[in-house]
Amino acid sequence: MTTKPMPTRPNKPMSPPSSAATGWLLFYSALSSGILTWITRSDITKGMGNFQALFLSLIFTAFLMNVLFAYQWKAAPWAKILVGLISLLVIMPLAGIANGYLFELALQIGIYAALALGLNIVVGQAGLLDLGYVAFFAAGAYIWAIFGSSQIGKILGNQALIDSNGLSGGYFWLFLFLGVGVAALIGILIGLPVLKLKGDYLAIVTLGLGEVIRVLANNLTPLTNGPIGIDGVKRPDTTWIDGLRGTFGLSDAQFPLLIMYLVVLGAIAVVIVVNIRLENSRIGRAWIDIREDEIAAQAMGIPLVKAKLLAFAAGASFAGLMGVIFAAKQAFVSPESFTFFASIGVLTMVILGGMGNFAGVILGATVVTLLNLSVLKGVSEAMKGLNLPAELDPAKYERLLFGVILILMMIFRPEGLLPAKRKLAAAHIDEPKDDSQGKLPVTTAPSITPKGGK
Amino acid sequence: MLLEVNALRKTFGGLVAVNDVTLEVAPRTIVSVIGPNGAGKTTFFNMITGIYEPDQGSIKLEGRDLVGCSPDQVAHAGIARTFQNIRLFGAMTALENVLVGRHARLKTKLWDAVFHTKAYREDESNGRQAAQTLLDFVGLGKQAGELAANLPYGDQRRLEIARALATTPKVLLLDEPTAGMNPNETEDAKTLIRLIRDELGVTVVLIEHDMRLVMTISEHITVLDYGTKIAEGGPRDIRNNPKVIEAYLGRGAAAGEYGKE
Repeated sequence: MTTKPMPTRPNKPMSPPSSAATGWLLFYSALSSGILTWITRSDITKGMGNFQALFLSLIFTAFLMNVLFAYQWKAAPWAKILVGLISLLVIMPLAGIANGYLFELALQIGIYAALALGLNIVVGQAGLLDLGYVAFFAAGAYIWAIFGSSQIGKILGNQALIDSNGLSGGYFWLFLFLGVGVAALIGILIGLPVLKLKGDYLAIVTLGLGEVIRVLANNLTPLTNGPIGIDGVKRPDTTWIDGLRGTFGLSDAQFPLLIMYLVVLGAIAVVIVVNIRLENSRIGRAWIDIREDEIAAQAMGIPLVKAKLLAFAAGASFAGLMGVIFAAKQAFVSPESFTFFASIGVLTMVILGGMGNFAGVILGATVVTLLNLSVLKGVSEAMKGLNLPAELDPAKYERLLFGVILILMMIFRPEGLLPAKRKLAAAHIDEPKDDSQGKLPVTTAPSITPKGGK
Repeated sequence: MLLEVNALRKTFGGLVAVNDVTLEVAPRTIVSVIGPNGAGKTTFFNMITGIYEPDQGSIKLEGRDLVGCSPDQVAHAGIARTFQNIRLFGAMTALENVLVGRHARLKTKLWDAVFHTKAYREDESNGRQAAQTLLDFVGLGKQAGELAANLPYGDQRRLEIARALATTPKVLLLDEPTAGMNPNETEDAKTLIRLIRDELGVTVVLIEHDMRLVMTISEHITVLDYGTKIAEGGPRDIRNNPKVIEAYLGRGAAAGEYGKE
């Protein structure tokens, strides 16, 4: 068989690091970090008028590419780790403290990245199309929103809990785990009846269930305060490190943002580690097998429903975790955050970035969130000076632009921006010219067919 | 008897695909199920492995009834299979494919994998070793890191056998293991099937169209036609059975000419 060589192959060592790449990486990261730090601390952008937002978002994007390059380039490992750590743990907080908007943006990116990583397990690894993923996010968010605000006092009719505005912020840390557990449980409960369905049917049912959760949140007014939502949700309690606030000279508004930023970073780290470890275990292999061929997987002794439930629950639990963090960060939770479009948005991140590859998924989340919240708004701000009619405002074409990007991606790079190695290989397997080479034949020619009888 | 299939029956609408077929397989034997295309052989296999549920009849492995078991339960019980149209996990390496076969015999739980416990590491390294041993056994030891989809056709067939063997089966069902192979590859496959029985002690049931292979390798042959068992016995009996010749071999040339492509 004359198969063309595959570009990448799992289990092969990477080519050795090049010193040129190391140099460029250090140079680029020093430059972009320097510019970002300088810009956020000087008044230079004030004079830019309408271009200020766009300029800032482009500088920020350039800075974030640091981390991508540190991951992608064949630089020396010490340089990669150094750049990654300094960018995320020093430069980003510094810039964020100087400019709250950037911090907000980084938090949003982080939350979506973790969500996308969770969905990636369900869709990318196990191949179960879930269109109602934010339901689990909502579950996590509402749990902390109810208990971490006066809402719990109203539900129980307990004046003391109303006065104290719910449980104290210290319980936040406990609720991180509770959020994981509750979301996983809901994942299993929803999964049990529907996971016998396949493909399109599963997608439709999850779509419906996602909406059910949102409608419940909208209408269970005594519990969720209905469409008005719950406000005054507590931030995590951090009295044990409050001394640091003075040390760094942070204001009351800046410090909680910094804490939330670190919590999100920690959550992402946990999610990534769990993701990678599961992927390289028999559980992860079972998921891939189910995605590739259910019948063969089952014949190899993989219990289909159990493995699917596990994928569903694992994905859901990450969403639950991020839900709790989201509620604390926003301090406000309403059903509006959990619409069908939010599910689709997370799915877009997974597909755009590269299904099945955690780095790709994070990249997808970053690109989509940046476009959505920063770049497009910046562009529309910048175009104000042109006095174009309101219909041409780029911010209004957000969804259109996404549609176009998705279509182009599916045509030119269906495996995503940073494809999983497996997926990349699989994408090439599917090419028709390979089929003619006699691999995985659909029908086999029985050699006994009597030639004389024909 | 190791495997006892009694009066198995399956209908699809009005079509009787398998009609009261009985098959007894003694331990450490190689037996074949043959028949013209559409005779119901693969349906028969699919019922044994739990993919289809039979309308009637019983399937017993060492006395344990397997009717109603799901395919993964059947695999756990000790019946492994390969597929007529190769169903490897193309985007996984050869080694990973075999590791998947170990799935049922590995015991890693979710927590073990997440926290990389000692149990997980031991389990994983044992599994990899076992998988490598099996790859060596079928002659694919050097291709362990290749993507399954990149392997040549004959190697894919052998990899599928290694994957099935990884479940440590008592009975191995091979669905046309030499389909599409050239005479040399068929000869290799024959050697491999014998090795599986002689060295691993695994009982082999095969569906095969290559008469030369069937006649030389099988100790017992069952012939199906239109879902019904029309004959069974040793290779010599089958070769001379007028019903078989009429239904199957007799359509064209004499039995001796088959498989000479």
